Parts: sequence; structure tokens; C-alpha cells
Amino acid sequence: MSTIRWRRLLPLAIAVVLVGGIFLWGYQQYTVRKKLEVSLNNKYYRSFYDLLENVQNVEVLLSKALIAQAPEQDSKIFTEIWQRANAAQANLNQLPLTDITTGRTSKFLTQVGDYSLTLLQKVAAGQPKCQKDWNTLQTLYKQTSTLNTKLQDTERRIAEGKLYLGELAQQTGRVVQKEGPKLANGNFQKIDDNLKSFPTLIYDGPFSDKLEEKSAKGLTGAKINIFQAKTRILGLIEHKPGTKYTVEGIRKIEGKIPAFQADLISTSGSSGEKERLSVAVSRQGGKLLWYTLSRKVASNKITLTGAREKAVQFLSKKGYKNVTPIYYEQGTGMVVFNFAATQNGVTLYPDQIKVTVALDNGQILGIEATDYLMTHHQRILPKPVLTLAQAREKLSPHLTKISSGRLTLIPRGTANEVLAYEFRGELDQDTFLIYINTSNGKEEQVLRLVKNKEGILTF
Amino acid sequence: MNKYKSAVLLFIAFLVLGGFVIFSNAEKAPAQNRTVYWGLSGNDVSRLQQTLYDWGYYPGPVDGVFGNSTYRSLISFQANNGLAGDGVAGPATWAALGFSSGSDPDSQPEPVSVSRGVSNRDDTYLLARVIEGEAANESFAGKVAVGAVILNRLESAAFPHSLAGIIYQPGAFESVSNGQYDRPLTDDSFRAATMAMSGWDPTGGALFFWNPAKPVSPWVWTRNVITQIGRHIFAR
Repeated sequence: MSTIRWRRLLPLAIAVVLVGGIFLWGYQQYTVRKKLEVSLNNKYYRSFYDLLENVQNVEVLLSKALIAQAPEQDSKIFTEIWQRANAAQANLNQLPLTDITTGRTSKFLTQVGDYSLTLLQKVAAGQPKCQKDWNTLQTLYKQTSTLNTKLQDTERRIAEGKLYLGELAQQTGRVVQKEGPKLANGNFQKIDDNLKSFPTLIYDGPFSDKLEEKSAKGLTGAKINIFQAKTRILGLIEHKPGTKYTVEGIRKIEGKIPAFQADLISTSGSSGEKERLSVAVSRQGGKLLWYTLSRKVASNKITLTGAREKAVQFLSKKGYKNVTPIYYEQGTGMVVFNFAATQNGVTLYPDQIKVTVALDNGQILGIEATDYLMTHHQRILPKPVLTLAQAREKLSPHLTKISSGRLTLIPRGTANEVLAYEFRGELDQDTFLIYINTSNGKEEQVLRLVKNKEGILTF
Repeated sequence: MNKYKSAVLLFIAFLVLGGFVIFSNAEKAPAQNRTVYWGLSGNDVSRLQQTLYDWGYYPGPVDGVFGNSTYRSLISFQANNGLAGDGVAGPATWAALGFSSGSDPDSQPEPVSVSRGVSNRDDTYLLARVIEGEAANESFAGKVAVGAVILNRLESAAFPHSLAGIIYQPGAFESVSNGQYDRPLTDDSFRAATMAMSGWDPTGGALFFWNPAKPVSPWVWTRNVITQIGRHIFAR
């Protein structure tokens, strides 16, 4: 009797336990999710309120910059604007909005910071701000104060509970693919649209609006068509004996240097092994811009010196004779060598060309000549005013084991180049490169050399 | 009858259990190279000698016995590679010799933790992960191109000013948003990242890329299209 009852009750008991278990599990999942959501939203709110405070500060500081006169005040104000604007830009980019929505605001904040840094450097070099700078600062101030007002409006809506930052995240994730700028986060979109009318800002900083597209200085010759490009590409690559090369596809690239890019497949006659190459030549003159080759690299067999020798030979075969290796970087099974052009023994650092060598058999896996072709041309180098010995006296007394020094051309700002003496020296275990201007003895640049097993890098 | 049944069950249970044990052993199988020093002998010493021999540090013979000659050549190798010249082949030295200390010596690049001090290995690693996530099935040039786009954003005023800032910008990269980028790295992606870091840019300055086969915002088509590499369209 009792066994029969048990038999009936057992499934029911199991069902109750199961349902209870599922309920408990579900509830736990819910609380965990809720907790995560809250902590994520808190991060968004923090970014937003930080953004608000930083923009407010930028506004106030810009107005101060308009009336400050002493260089000490100026440098203090510009330093702070630079920091605050950069922090604001970082805050903005942590919000769950896409670059479609915030691109212009982001750019504006970057330029405010970057422009202040440029002015700071000017002040540090003993030049006070001029009328033109003042006018730019005033424009920036007006624009920042509009931005600030709009952000305050958004804040008010958040405070009134009309806007919820967490919702932005969900919308961004869901809608961005399809809707783009119509995102419901219209608040931020409107703020961004406001900056449409902002004039282009041109100054000597890395984020300045470029005056015009720079043309490649190293390119000469007639334009080639797609058929000429194909023949040219097949002629440029290294042909291994007994290997067949076929062009799989060729297309135009509308990049910094207009080019043709082709995908090639090489098939070895003996082993049937295939390698994939990608090659680009410039439309003007048909010069080799870059190529990459991908294959599995076996264990390291050749030394770095051996690999460098291969790179030098390859460059000289391709017509790059006046180049000198400057540094290298090691990756998995390969090493990238950077070369700079030379002119009468002067190293031209802006004109760099890179070559990748496989460490198993010394094959050239890639070349990158775009930078070189953008900048390379015959320079008119000034005669140094300072002698090497005079330049050496400008170096820090803390520096030891100072090298003999050599002439180099280094980039300055975005468009300028200066002739400088390069010295290598050490402080304790750290190695530095110091550049002294040959005409006025100014210390133009201090670089730290970092040697590790990946290579030699400069910072 | 019943006995027979339970015997079969037991047999199956053992089979399953045994299989599990075998599988879990197989996962642990590729053992790491142990730390070797003067006086030891074995296969790992042979491996060490062979590599040092191949790279011209060790005159030979490869006999698997760590003696004076092996000791001296190891120290000169360590000195040339920025390692502490202690004549002991520990994890860092093994890694420098090209032996990964990870589980799969073929597919895993060296773990980032071996780098010490100032290096840009961390950036390369981060870049390689996004390349793996976004362009795992693309050609090598397509991988370098994705890396180049991320690095081009560093030079653009409209994007964050650090590599981590760009990669982790909410909604910027689909594979980062959905966690797809969090998978084992291939050598190809790592090489592509290294080359992008060194300046290769197959896109000629692109800031955006997308796969037109997937639903994308119509907004992206207002950008200046530069080229298409594999399945991705690149634009400024």
C-alpha cells in the first residue's frame, strides 16, 4: 500500500525539486546579471561625469588663456588645457557610443589639447602667443562653451530620469549595424552635429588638419595602366627557379599613394608547395610600394647578421643602394630591419624602408617602401655652423661612453626637418640617442634605445 | 542475465572513464623543457646543445651531457640576448632559444609574460588578438591591413590616443564586443601584427573596414572607399 503511494509521489517530488532548482538557478542568474549591469552602468556614469567636469575646466581655462599675459601663466594654463582636453576625449570614448556619433566631438577635444600643447612648446621656446593664436583660442573657447552647455542639458535629462546611459549601450550594440546615425542617442548626435561648422585648424601638431594631401616626393615617371602593372609586378618579385607565379587578382588602391595591388600564388615545380604573395606598385612610375608573403616559418637557422646581409643584398638589387640599417625588431620566425636613406654620409631618418627576412632560410618575406617614396628626394643640406666638438659640449654631463657623433637629418614637427649631430651615450644601463641642432646647438630630441631579445627599439 | 548486463555496463563505464583519463593525459602530454644546468644530462640537454650548435654558439658534440663547453656557450648566448648570464637554462632562456613554454610549441607564440621592462611586445600582442578576431580567415595581406587600420586610428584625432583605447572603445570592433577575439593566437596573426607595427599598411591610410556581406550601417558607405582586400572593404 505504502509502496504504491510512494511510487505515485516520487515523480511529483522530483518535479517539485527540479522546478525549485530551476527557479533558484534562474534567480541567481538574474541577480548576477543585475550586479554586472549596475557595475557597468556605474562605469559609464563615471565617464560621463568626468567628461562633464573636464569640458567645464577646458572652457574656464580657455577663457583665462584669453586674458593671461605672463609666459608663466600661459604655460600653466596650456599644460592644464592639454591634460583636461585629453582626459575629456578619453572619457568620451569610454561611453557606449560609436565613432559615428562622437567622431567630431572627439576630434575637437583632441585638437584643443594638441593645439594647447603646440602653444605650450612655443611659450617654452620663448615666443609669446600672437594675435592669430588669440583668435584661434577665442574660437575654441566659444565652441567649447557650446559643447559644455549641450553636455549640461544631457546631464539634466539624466538627472530627471529621462535618459538612461545603460540604454545607450543596448542601443549601440543592437542598432549600430543597421541604423547608424539615426541612433536614438540623439543627444550626443546633436552635440556632434553642432561641431560641423567648426573651421579647420592648422598648426604644427600631429593632429592638425592637413593643409592639403601631400604628394609622394620620391615618385617620378609616367602613369601606368593595369596591364603594365601586372607585367611590372611579375618582373619585380624574386623568381625562385622552377617556381610558377600566377596573378590571381589585381585591383586599384586609392590610398596615400594611388596604386595597383595584386594577389599572386607561387607554385613550386618540384614540391607543389604554394605560397601567397601580395604586391603593390604605384600607379605613377610603377614603383614597388610593398609586398608581403605568408608561409610557415621553420625554426631559426640563420643569424641576425646573416639575415641583415640578405636584406642589404635585396635592397641593392632593387636599386636602393644608399641606405643604412638603423634598427631591427624580431617577431616569430622573422626579423624586420629598418633602413634609412643616406646622402653624402648623412643619415636621412625620415626616408625609411623596411625589409622582413625569414629566419629559417633568409627569404625576403616583405618590403615596405611607402614612407620612403613619400619623403625621399635630394635634400639641400645646410653647412653645419657648429663643429662636432662644439655640439658635444652641449650634452648632459651625466652621459657616459659618448660615441663619436655623426650627421643626421631628423624630422621636426609635422613638416620640418633639421640637420643634427647624433650622439649615443649611456647613463647607468640605459642607452640614449641625443640630437643637437647643427645651426644653433639646441637639443632637438632625446631618444632612449631599448635593447631586448625582440630587437632594438627607440622610445 | 542480470549479472551479464551489469558486467557490460561496468565495462562501458570503464571504457568511458579510461577514455577520459587518456584524453586528460593527452592534454598534459607536451611537457615543458625543464630548467637545465651544469651536470645534468638528458633529451632536453641535447635539444639545448642542438640549438646552440645550430646558431653557432656551441662547437659540439650534441651528446646530451651538460659539461663545461655547453656551460660556456650558454653563457655567451645569454649575454648576447640580454639574459642573466648564469649558465642555467630556465624558462626565459628556453623562450629565447625559440622553445615556447606554452602547451603547444607550434601554434603558440611566446607568452607575453616573458618580456621584461620596456617593450612593445604588449602592443603587438593586443593587436594580434584583434587581427585574429576580425580577420582569421583573411589572407596575410588582409590581416596586416586590419592591423594597419587600428594603428592608423592612433594618428587620427577622432579616435582614442592609445592602442588599448581604440581596441576597447565600446562597439568599435565586433570581435572584441562579443569576445570572439579571445581565442588562441596563430603565428600568422602575430606576424601580421608585427609587420603592421613596423609600418606595413596595405590600405594606404584606411580608418574603417567592414564586411559588405554582413549588415552594416549605410553611414559607412559615405566614407571614401580605398580598396577591397579579401572580404573587407577599407575606407577613409
